Amino acid sequence: MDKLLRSNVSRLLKKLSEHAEIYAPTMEDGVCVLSKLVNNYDDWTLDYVRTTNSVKDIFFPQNEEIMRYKNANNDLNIEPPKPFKERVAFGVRPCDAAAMLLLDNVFLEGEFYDSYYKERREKGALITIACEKPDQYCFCTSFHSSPGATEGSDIVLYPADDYFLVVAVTDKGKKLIKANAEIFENATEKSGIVENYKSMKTPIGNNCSPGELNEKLKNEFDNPYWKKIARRCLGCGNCTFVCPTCHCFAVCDVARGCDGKRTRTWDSCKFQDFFLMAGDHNPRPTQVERTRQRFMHKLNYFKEKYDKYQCVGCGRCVEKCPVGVHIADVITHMKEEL
Amino acid sequence: MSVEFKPNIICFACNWCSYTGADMAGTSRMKYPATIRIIRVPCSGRVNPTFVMKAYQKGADGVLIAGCHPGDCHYNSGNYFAKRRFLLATRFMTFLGIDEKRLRMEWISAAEGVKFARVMREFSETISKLGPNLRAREEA
Amino acid sequence: MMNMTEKMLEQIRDLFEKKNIKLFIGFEKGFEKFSRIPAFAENYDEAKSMIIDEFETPLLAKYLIRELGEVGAGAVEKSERVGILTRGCDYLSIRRLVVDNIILRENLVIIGIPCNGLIDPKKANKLLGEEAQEITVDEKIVLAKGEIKSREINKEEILLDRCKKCIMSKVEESDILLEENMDDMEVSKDYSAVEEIEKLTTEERYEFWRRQFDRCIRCFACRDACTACNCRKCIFDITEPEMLEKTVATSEQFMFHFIRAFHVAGRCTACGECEKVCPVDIPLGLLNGKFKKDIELLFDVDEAGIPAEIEPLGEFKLDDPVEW
Repeated sequence: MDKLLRSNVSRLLKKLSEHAEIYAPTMEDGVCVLSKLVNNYDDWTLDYVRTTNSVKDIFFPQNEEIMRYKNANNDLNIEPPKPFKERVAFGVRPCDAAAMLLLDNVFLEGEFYDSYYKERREKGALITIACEKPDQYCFCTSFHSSPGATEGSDIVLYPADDYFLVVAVTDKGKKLIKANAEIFENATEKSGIVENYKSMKTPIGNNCSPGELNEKLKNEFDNPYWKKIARRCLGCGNCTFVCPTCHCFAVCDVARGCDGKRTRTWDSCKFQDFFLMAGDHNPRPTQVERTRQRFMHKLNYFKEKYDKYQCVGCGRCVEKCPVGVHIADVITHMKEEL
Repeated sequence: MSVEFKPNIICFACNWCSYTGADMAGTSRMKYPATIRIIRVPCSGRVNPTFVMKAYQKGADGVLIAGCHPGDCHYNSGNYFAKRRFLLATRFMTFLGIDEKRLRMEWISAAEGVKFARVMREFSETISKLGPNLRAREEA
Repeated sequence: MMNMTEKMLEQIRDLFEKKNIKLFIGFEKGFEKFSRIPAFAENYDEAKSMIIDEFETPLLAKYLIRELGEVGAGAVEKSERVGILTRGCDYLSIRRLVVDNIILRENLVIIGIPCNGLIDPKKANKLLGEEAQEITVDEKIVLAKGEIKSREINKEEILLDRCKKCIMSKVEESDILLEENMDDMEVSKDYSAVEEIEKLTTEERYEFWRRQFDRCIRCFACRDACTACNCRKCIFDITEPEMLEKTVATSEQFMFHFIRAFHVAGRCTACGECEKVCPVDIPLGLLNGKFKKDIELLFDVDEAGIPAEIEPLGEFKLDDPVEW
């Protein structure tokens, strides 16, 4: 087992930046965001429970150029996007890392895969920091995870006094440590630190663990409860955009004359124009259907397809929802009712 | 070899006065810089501040709104409303960090071909001095 | 505060029995301990969980568009009315909807409650250094108890940001007033934050806003929570012409925030809800405040936040200033 002194983190980031783009949590006007570090490798912070934007931003960015096209004299010229650079995300939380596995299911599994996402994933590494103090919004323990979980990460750092205990999870992680061996130190004493983190409980605990809820939800398409929570919903895309597992996107062309570019951007099932079809028909015309769609997707459809719930309990949607639509509330209510 | 900066200037000209004023300047064979692109609008009151932002976004270095003199509006009061909007828009743009000199408003009547040409020359000069606008402008 | 809740429930029962209301909108406890969320009751039994206290609440007026507004028809007289719990900020928002001809005042039953500012439990947690288990409010002193520590906090310190900028603490046209305001909250016109930005150089200002806007994830929460944003079809949802593209480049962010702020200029009631709901804490109040300040300065308006029949941008004076 290795350890990494806190005072050495900046050094590590600087070293890594020689080959890769570095993303780390930084404070920006009082908000903690996972942002790209350029020559400011001391700016990373530990003073956060969760970053406002999830690690999804790095591998499946809100805005991604797919191609550019030029049409001069009937000669169509298509330019592929610029090749991606290696990326290292530092200071990711275990829930976010676990969320990446869910995105992998969507984008990489099956006959077809998403080449942009695949390339980003292959060139990306996740260095996770276990949570010292989950807050009242956290409920990862309800989804078979914990503040010290290693799923999805390449390296997990467990905070101790003035250092981190380093656990390499994947080969990629091991290589990364090996390549920067001079920055890490050998940890001699083996203590129960890692186990402590793994057995830590969040305040909600596993009270809202969905269990076999998906089976029961199958017949609850017309449950009046959807109407009840949808009445509150304002219809903003807040919850879906901060969610590390939501992955709906739209592809749009921005053209000027015969030239243009095609981009992929996030879209949200909470927006009224998301389902709008040609001819102005909207199969989900009110917030009731849209709210139901969000929860059914997370708690039913995704589970049917990939045998996992599409939620990691990071608590972002819960913290950010202006009107208190709470996924744990939905789960507990449905469990009681059904 | 340095290439001289040629600004892109969008002029929203009201149909009844300023656009005719531009016509006047043209038929009188007056010269004004070719950096100006005129967009005809029914009235200066039609100019939504959104148009101005859109112009900057799509590559304009300066925007000029030209309308009838106060009291002369074809629709009686359109230019007064435009004026209020313009006052707020310039101040707001400055607040966001876009140079206020890049937005200008002028009253030009149908008979003022000379004024039209003069204003265009002046404005083009100001913008040339300021250089290209890179703020709130979309990347190529 | 229990007292007030009981008073309210009594009034609600009365309304459902005698006054022919079909719906009452109020607050109830959310899943989180101190969260207060909008509640909708179609009969008295459903209303029993409603509560009035001093914790942060969202605005309710926006829901009236969905519950009472008729798409495309303007305001129409309804046979059944809707009751709503209202504080000063909510009252201004309701007035906004009435002035904009989205709803009719006659269709509403307003239960007014006094407000001396709401408290933000997140701030209390921060001051306490742990998660508060119990928060009791006694006029101006708040007692926050955690598992380990407990602390007395001055209410001013943990006041909700938007309450600090409150311009209306009373409900003027309520049908039922539960209690008079204990003491009039000081209505402040404070533009120091806006002036702070104005003092910067153009470059600094641009950098400041670029940094703020680049954080924006375009969730449209600021629009969806705003009562002044009551267009039938929002310009951001229109694809032809596409004023705002879906891409999230810096220029698009400037475009978005410029349009949003301009569309509520002179109509914004300064409730501060947009700033509160923003997930990435963009200081939208500064943008709205800038317009408010300029309107008051340029067009000789006393208080630009109070909805009036004619809006500052919907009228003109012959002697408006000329600044060029």
